[in-house]
Amino acid sequence: MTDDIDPLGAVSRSQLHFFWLADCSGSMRMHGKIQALNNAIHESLPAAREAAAANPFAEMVMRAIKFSTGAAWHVKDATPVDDFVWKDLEALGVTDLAAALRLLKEELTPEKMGRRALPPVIVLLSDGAPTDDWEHALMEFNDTGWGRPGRTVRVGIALGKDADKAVLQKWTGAEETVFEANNAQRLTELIKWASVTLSKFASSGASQVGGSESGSPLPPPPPPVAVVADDEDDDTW
Amino acid sequence: MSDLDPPTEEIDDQATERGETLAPWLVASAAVVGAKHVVVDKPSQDSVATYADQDCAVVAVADGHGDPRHARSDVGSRLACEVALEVFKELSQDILDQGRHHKEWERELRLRLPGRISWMWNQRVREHAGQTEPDGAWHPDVDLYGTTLICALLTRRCVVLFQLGDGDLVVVSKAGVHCAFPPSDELFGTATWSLAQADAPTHADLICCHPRDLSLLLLCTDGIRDAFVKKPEAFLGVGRWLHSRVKEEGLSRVEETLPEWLSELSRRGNGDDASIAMLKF
Repeated sequence: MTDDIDPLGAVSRSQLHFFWLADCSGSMRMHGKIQALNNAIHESLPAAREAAAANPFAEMVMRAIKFSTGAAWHVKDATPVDDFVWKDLEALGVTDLAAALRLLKEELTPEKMGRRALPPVIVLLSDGAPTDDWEHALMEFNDTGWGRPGRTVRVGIALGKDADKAVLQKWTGAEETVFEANNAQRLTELIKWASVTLSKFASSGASQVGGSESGSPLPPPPPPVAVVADDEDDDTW
Repeated sequence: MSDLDPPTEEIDDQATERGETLAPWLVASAAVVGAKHVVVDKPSQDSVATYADQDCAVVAVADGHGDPRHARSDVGSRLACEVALEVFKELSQDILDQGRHHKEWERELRLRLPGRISWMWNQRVREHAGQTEPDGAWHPDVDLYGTTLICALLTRRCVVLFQLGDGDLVVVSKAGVHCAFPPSDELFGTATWSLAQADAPTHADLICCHPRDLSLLLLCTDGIRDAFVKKPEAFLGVGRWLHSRVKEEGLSRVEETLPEWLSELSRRGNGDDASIAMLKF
């Protein structure tokens, strides 16, 4: 018998890290946007679990950061989507996006994530404009190992017409990955799309050629916006 | 592919037989379609090739990138292995004829071998893309064929190890088990250097050493390492385990059972294609 043991026992599926970055500043209370966000994430979880169960080659783990006056982990541990519980957020304070980006940056290090991994999916949800030094924080984030453009799958979801989409576009790096939700139904669609379709996209595992960061493939688009009557075109939460 | 280049499978079978009977070294390989690709009926993007005769042994693995941007990467990886065999067989004659120290070869080959491999691969790929009498300069068409390449040449005087892109070249020697080339600090996630890059030669790693003290080389596509994502230290255990098995059961027996083992690894892991080429000293 060989002295060395068969290493198959150490084999495991890849992990797909999924992060929600949720704005819970005071303006999110207006028109019930914060409750719409809470409901949308609750509603998306069954579909996300189903999608994860259908993929035997990757384990999806979720985390969440909330930001208003400062930022904090809402769900700190990388939690398998089957066990992920969303506690409702409350809205209060300003929009310290920089604080959220700094928290995220502390996690997306090669020491904590390794270098060989599926690209993490990060979804930023916001209804306004940041109130802190977000540009500096974003520059620092984009300069770290996993934060470099092309190494993560980033999406920005603007809640309502007042959201600063230019900020979200700077975050994602592309206009095509910023989406607007002007009502609860659209927000639910986008959040479901993010947690199901984006996770499938990120876990495809196909190799990307190094040094072609600007040429990273775009994720599949979300479902189209349902046609609305002219008088329903504004925010209706 | 020219008339001078028989199909890889043909080379493998004949070479292994010749290697086992005539030379003090043996070669073997195994490649399986990843469990994820089996589900969607997608062909393997990996290729392997081996050759052995009395003068030299060559092993190569290549991993086509597999996404839609590199839609012909299965062809790209096959052509990469064919080029590796051709270039290294030619080189073996130079090494045998000239009898220089392996460090001299290393200095020289670092300057010219990555460029030579890149040139020949570009040329083969452009031919496959339908271009008429192409040269080996980079061309946008080669992007469709993106692939990595890891290959090794063994002669009695010098071992040449070459890697461009992800995957691992595992060396088992009297000193233990290690990877010949550490992963690039510049690459994260599923990013890899590629033969399809215009500056591909600048991303190649190459070392030469004397075959003394070496026991086994394992050339692995990234499907092997990525299966140990939660216990990366266990990856080198593959080298120790296979070396131990080869010593006790013989390379042929290990080669017979390797596809089943690789399939199980892919099924339990991330479902990627998985390929290994082995060179036993």
